[in-house]
Amino acid sequence: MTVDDVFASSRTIIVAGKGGVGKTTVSAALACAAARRGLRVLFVELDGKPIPTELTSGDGHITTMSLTAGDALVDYLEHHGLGRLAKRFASTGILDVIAAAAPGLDDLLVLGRIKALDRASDHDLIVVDGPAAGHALTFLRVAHGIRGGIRSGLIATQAAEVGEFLADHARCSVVMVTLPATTPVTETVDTALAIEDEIGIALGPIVVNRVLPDDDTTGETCTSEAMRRSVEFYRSRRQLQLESIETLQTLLPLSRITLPDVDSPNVVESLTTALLENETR
Amino acid sequence: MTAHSTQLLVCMGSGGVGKTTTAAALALRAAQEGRKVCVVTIDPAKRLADALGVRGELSNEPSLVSNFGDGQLWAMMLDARQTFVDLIASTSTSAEQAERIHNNALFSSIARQLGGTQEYMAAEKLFQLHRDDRFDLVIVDTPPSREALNFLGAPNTLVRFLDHRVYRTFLAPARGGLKIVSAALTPIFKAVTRLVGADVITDVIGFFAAFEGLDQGFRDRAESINAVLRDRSTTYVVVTSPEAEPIREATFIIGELKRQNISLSAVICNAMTPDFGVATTNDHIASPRHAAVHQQLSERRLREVTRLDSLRETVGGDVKVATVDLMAHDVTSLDGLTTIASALEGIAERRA
Repeated sequence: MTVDDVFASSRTIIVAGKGGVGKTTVSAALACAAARRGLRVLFVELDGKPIPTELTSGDGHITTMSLTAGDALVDYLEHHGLGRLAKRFASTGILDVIAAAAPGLDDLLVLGRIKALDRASDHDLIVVDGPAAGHALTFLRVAHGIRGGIRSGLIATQAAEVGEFLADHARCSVVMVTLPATTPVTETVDTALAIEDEIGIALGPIVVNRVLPDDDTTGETCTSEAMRRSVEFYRSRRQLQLESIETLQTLLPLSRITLPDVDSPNVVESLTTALLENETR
Repeated sequence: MTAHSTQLLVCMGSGGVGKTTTAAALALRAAQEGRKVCVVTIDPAKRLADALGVRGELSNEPSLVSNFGDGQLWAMMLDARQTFVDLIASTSTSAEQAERIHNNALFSSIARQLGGTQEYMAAEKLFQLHRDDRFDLVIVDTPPSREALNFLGAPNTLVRFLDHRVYRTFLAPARGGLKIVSAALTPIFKAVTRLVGADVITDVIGFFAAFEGLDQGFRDRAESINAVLRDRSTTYVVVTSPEAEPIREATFIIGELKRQNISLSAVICNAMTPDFGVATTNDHIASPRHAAVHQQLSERRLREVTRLDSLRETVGGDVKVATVDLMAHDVTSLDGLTTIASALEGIAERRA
């Protein structure tokens, strides 16, 4: 399996992962890699974070978009003949209260917008830089019975449609990003199982980010104490990584893309290259 | 005689920078120095429970982890929902009122996930522990948050909600059923009903009705918590790692603290690449593959130090910036925490 298979498997890819794993960077690299294969890519940012500059200074293959719940709501209301009310909702602030009463309403509207973008077919691939820190599961669970209990009304219909979209493996899949360390791996396994079993969303390969390459020093003599200690340290860190990758493989036997540990200003570029060269395992 | 008052230390920072471990290490060090310390974690990794030597789950109440002579180390894990339920129980005027609130569908949603509920309850818990005379020092690990302000603004969460215009439309000044009925007939509510159905509206009305008469109590409490969070004896520590993104985040948080006139007492940078010292040109020639690894790590450390220097400039000279080297092995014992703690001397000191 290659990264091209990932691009071919579904039009929409939602990238998920906890804070600090490099989710945005990996999302950006996926978008760049797809564009380099000639695909028309839409990159969707959800958290109001700045869009990586590598995507905006590009070659015309990549379109970027920031999507907030507020935008999605206005969009939704306009499409349902309620545009006139959008302003009044905002001015009374009633939506804060309704959103609290119907938790996930904001997420549902965002997913509904992504579903609409998918249906519009203006792009070959939609990469969604998913919601941050631990929120992914809540986000994806939303359609599955909008938890506060919206049982009727237009939103209930919307929830059903979003549910169908998420469960349709030809349209939508989730790529999880993790780090080769104990805690991120444990959390990834828990989240991945919940995504598959509970929500029925297709899981793409797991991206293991920041993996140290083999140090390749076996058999070489070394007289420098500084060098020897640095190699020892490097190996020991790498060993910890390999152990957690093994745990990941045992608990979650999915295909995997490993990306190298890059500490430079051109992370997106390096990861794009790595993705295009990488065979998933 | 004045009421007992415990020193508070708040750890802030983005996710994945080792904030929880740092909070535990600071707590351990203070306990080893003979103080009675409680560390409050939000979402402790199992690894941390192992490091603290805590078998099984930590609960929403402090439990004693270890004694160090006179010093004691306690730990607890925040259960935001349970803390909220307790808060409602202690604030309600009657058991019936508390039960009406608990049974409301909107309350369950809010307790679970109203934006900032976790931060709100962390602040509430901190306030409770502040008055708990079992402790000299309470260290809290805040939820990872892009907005450092979420925690500081958190005590007002419920007050803001209860102050909502919708609430006032419904219940003030004509508190009672008639007003609710007439509000429900307005075009805007008809539109909302079309969107989300009538059940949700019923829940909202029931929620605000159940809170009747409690808003002043919550307002007073929020004020007390705010006062404690802004008290000069409460210490703020920003935790980061030396990567570009966490450093940017830490810079932002520090700026916000300054803007709010809250004094920062230290910055802790975790997971620094260690300094292995220099190697000679001869060594490079003799062992090129070793040299490559050594050089890679040295360059990485240099970039980290440069980023940290720019952070130091933001922070100013009077704030301690402590660094903790990345260790060759994971921290899975009190010994490992002690190693980290030794780099953090003077950060959780007693205030005069």
